[in-house]
Amino acid sequence: MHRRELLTGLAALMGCSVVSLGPTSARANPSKKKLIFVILRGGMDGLAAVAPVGDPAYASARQAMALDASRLLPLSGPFALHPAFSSIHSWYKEGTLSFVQAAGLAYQKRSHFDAQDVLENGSTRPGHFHTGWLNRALRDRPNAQGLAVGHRIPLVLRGAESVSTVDLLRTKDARLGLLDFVEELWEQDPHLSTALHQGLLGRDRVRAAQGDTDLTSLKKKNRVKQSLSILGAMLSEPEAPQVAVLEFGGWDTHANQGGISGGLAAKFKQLSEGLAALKKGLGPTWNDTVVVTCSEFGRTVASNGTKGTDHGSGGLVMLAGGGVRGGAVHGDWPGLQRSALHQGRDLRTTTDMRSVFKSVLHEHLEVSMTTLNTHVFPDSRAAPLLPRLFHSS
Amino acid sequence: MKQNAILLNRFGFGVDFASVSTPADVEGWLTSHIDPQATFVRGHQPELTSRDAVARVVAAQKEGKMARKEVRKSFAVQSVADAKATLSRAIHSKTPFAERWVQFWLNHFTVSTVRKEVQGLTGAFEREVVRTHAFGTFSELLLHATRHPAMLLYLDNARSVGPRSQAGRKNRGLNENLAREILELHTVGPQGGYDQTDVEQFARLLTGWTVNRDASGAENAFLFRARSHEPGKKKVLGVWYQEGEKGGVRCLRDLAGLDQTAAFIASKLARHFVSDFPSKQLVAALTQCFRKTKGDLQALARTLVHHPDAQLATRAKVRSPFEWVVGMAQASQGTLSVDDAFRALRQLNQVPFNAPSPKGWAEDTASWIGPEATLDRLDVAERFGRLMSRSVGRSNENLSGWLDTASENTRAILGAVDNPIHRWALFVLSPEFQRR
Repeated sequence: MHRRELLTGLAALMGCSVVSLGPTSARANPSKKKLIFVILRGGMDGLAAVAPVGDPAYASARQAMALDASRLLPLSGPFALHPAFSSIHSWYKEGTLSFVQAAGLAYQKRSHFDAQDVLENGSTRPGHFHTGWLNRALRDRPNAQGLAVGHRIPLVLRGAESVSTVDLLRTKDARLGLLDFVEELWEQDPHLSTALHQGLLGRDRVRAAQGDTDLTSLKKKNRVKQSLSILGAMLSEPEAPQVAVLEFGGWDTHANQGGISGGLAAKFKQLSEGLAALKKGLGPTWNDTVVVTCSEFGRTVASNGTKGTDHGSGGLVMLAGGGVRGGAVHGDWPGLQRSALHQGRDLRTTTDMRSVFKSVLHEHLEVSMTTLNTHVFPDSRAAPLLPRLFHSS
Repeated sequence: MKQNAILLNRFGFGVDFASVSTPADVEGWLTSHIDPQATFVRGHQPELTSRDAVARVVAAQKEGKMARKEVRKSFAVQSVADAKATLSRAIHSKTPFAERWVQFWLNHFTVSTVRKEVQGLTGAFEREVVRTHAFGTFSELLLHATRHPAMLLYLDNARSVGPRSQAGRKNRGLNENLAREILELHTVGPQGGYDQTDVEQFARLLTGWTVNRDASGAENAFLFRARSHEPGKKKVLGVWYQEGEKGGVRCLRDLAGLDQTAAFIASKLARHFVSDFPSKQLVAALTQCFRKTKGDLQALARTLVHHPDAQLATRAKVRSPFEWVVGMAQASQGTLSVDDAFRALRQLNQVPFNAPSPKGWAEDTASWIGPEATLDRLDVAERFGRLMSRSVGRSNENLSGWLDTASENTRAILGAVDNPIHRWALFVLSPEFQRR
């Protein structure tokens, strides 16, 4: 009988839910800290999310994209939050939400694919590494596991350390009988067999976290919320992965972007409610969690000819969770005066995103500076640590 | 024998289980598919041309909201039909290399129904652009792809307007999307040496390239609208182009002739067909051929198939869901219907014409074999096994012929399995069936 089957059976007999069927070897003090990395693919308009309404050049620079300040939620300084984020606005004052404005990459060429590659490979050039910085960071945390939510492993989690993927809304099951044969069939194919084992591990965890939720009847827009809620529950279990990566697309708002309402506002709302659902699922683990949300670049300050914006440079990083020193909009605000813009069109990047990533890895996950500067982000002198973003462990 | 199986997976959809025997000269057989006649298809049902699709939209817009909704609904249905049609052609084709070639170029010039405006136009794009020009020159293929309404709508050029044109206003109107993607994805590639100014200038060059909304007797659905065209000459990658439609046509032709384009296309072909990490020699040979023949796609296909690397008995890549499912359908000799195959592609997240971005479907193995995706393949394989075990009188002669080319491990396991469901599932899950 398959080992997995046996254990599941026993657990059922004992009336407890299956929590984790991973290796049961003792772990040396696994940290409780969680890092959730959210990639918004397409270039999210950071100036629409956290609008610098107090900047004297705001209206003239953003033109049609300028938002009515009276409809926005207060933050600090010249900044205000898009009302679509109302479900998490209170976190700002509560100290579990902060932002870094004008954050970007050393790579400045505005190609989605190259910029995403740079964002994930952790260098300054696309294709420079075929592995991701987050995977490289896991080398220093051998007891931490990496988890990619979805059907593929994004570059940021690819590399020497093995990670798993998980489909949070999976309802189907592979029959155990076939499984035994497949394991043998793929014995000599390391690629396939590794993928299989990671998949099975992930599935066990998800089933435990799904509980009694009926997933098959969910509406599409509720699925984001529901899946994040399940992810939270999963990550709050003992022996759960310490690092998770999510990705959402559809942020490339070239046309009909909208303002207070409209397409982008709807996506902001989904993101906001998703984060709230994640917090709910995590329960007390939220206090030990940091969620870093970013995008490969921001967008043009002014609108284009089709009521949208084009690819830009400096963008927004959102930081949420108990591990965050909330209530601030960090970064060196360059301003929206024409002379301050990058190539006369984009928000200038004043913080290298690697600085933010380095800081969360060091302060929150206790990865050593040596590892960070040599293995995770080689040649990153231009991206120093930012000490006031996170609570030190 | 094993060699033949590898070549058939690499350049086709695997061993054709319906045929009595595998051709003795597989390489020659595959080469014979390099023929414009092979990509051309004659449909049995009336097909929706791009001109007719656009005419329907225009007519509905005049009629009002209800009519518009009806058209949208019918185009959503058409979308599914188009996806199934391309799948069906691959499954039933007797010239599989031609089909693989078509799928490559459909992916290179991705148009996706992720943008609703593209629905209804995907089948037309496949027939009018790729199937017609896939064995012509790259330059012609590029021009037709760029001018097709599916592409003009997908990448927002249809409503791009020159800021200083008659239709434009100050700093309004220009959309860079198509220009950028032509440079980055279709021709010179991201390292092609262009900068932001080139993108903007190229975008200005392409203003006015739009969809013909006049339904009366127009030859095709492309229109150059002078009112929207940015006046003046434009400089792209160091070359000046005159105002007007000809400027854009010339620029596309020049881009198609650049060394960077030859190298970029060569690299993509090598990575798609042979290996995620192709040899320098293979890429160089393809680049050379492209340059020498000025982008003759037949010559390029021949160079690819005949290159020593193409003969290598490695199975470095894993078949994409599309390739794998088509192979499965062929192995089933008709038992797996096109509808079943389509359902499988849905589960494996590769519905034709539904790619998530203009870059198209991923090429590398790592993208398709993640932990979750692997479990999906198990599910699909198991359903396939159930289907096959229910069908009566399936002969296994071709299967045993194929088995001779498989590894000892695979043969041992398939030999030891009693349950026909498992036997069929494991057959399609075997590394030899999944890899190429």
